[in-house]
Amino acid sequence: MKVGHLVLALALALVIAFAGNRPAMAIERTIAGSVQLDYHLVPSQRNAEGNAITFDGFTKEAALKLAVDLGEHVSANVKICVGCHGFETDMAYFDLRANDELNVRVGRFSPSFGSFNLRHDPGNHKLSDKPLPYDMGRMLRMRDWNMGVLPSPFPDDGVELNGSHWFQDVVQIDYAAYAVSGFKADQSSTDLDFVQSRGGSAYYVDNNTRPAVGGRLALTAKFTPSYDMTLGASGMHGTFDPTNDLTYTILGSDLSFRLEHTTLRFEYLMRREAFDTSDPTRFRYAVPSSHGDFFVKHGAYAEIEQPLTSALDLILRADGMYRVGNVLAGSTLDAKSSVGRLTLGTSFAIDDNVRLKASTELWGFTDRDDRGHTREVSFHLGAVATF
Amino acid sequence: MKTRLAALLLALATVVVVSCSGKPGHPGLLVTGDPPELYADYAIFARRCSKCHGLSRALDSGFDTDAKWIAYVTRMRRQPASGITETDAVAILRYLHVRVRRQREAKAAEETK
Repeated sequence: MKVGHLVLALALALVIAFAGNRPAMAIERTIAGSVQLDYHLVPSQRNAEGNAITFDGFTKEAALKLAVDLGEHVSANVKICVGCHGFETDMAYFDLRANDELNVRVGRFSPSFGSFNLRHDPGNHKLSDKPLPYDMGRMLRMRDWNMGVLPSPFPDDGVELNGSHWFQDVVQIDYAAYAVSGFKADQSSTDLDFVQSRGGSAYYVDNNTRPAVGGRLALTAKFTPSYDMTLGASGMHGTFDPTNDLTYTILGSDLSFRLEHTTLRFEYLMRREAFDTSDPTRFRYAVPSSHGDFFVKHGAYAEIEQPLTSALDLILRADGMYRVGNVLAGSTLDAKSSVGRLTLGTSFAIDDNVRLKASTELWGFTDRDDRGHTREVSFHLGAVATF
Repeated sequence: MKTRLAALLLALATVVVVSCSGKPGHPGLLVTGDPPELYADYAIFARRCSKCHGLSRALDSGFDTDAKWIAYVTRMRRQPASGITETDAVAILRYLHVRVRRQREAKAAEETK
């Protein structure tokens, strides 16, 4: 009943706001996009015959976005992406905006979570790879780890309330609260199925009746014209199985500084996820009678981005993940597994809209692969164009 | 062992290339030829807009009217943690207005040749 009252009050507030002064405004359309081609070389991931045994070679990501401002209070966005996952609808939503402080987003979008996702387009981040907590498939041993904590982007169908307010032109507060379909997996799955969650093979229909909910709160402070900071906290919770028995909770915090031309970013994410233990023989370790039906996956990164000239940026990133919990009998992971990575990269603008990206990644795993290796090296060389 | 050596060499090469690349400048595009009274507005534009994307993404959008820029900058200002105040937006629009006017004048001069 209380939720009903809240929705009614919100609807009334929006009607009143939209019914106010509405100056005439022409319809404005913006088309933008990006294309990235990356070559990932993993020389250490080869078998005795010299054949690659991991996901390396060329990958491309392309995106095309149409943004339409239909007036002072209504806008719409559609974005289509093509990548290793095939064609995906990254965005298809409209915004109903009363003012800066109150916006209702309806449709398909990535709900507000963390700071990286705003820059997930390869045209907007300087390295070829995403940070490990947000990895969507380029990481080594991707299938063993089932990608990152929250593979980015994470478009979903739903509704989000968001807004922003400035205090004295010094402090900006952002908030968001949303309800979306949520991640998906089969009843017997021991982890989220990101392909089923994201892809259109199931016609973008929710697999259970219960929406996932979440929110974000962020504070941006401008200390001087060239020194600002953003601190944020995010969370989401939902069920992923068809019968709403298995839950997941994802929490995150982020902190970034911009000091002159230097940018520092820190972000931490964790996902606690339940799994079905009705058949304990599936697992490698004995399932305890209590607290044995979930795992926790932590992920974090620290990154420094330093422009050295107007065309060249240097990027240094340290990131990693740590998983605690039972695993399937055939898994290459243990009850406690971790992966760490150190990346040194450059991004060079060869033209206003074209950048070359080159990076070296040093990997360390706690688990040995079938060749007994725990360390790996990989290289990226890519080009990205924006328009 | 060979791969580690290759990684080390590449990292060293990266550092050497970076070290030889001159002194630091503004992130993103440097716009030359702008009148000096626009420098402060350009600085705000460069500072705020480079937080999430390269400056060329805005400058090469092809927008040629104030109405388009107002809609675009308003949308960007409302992005979470944009750091763009309404005062910043005025300065950014002022810079973009002059830039578009200069581009239009240059194009007209080109056509009359």
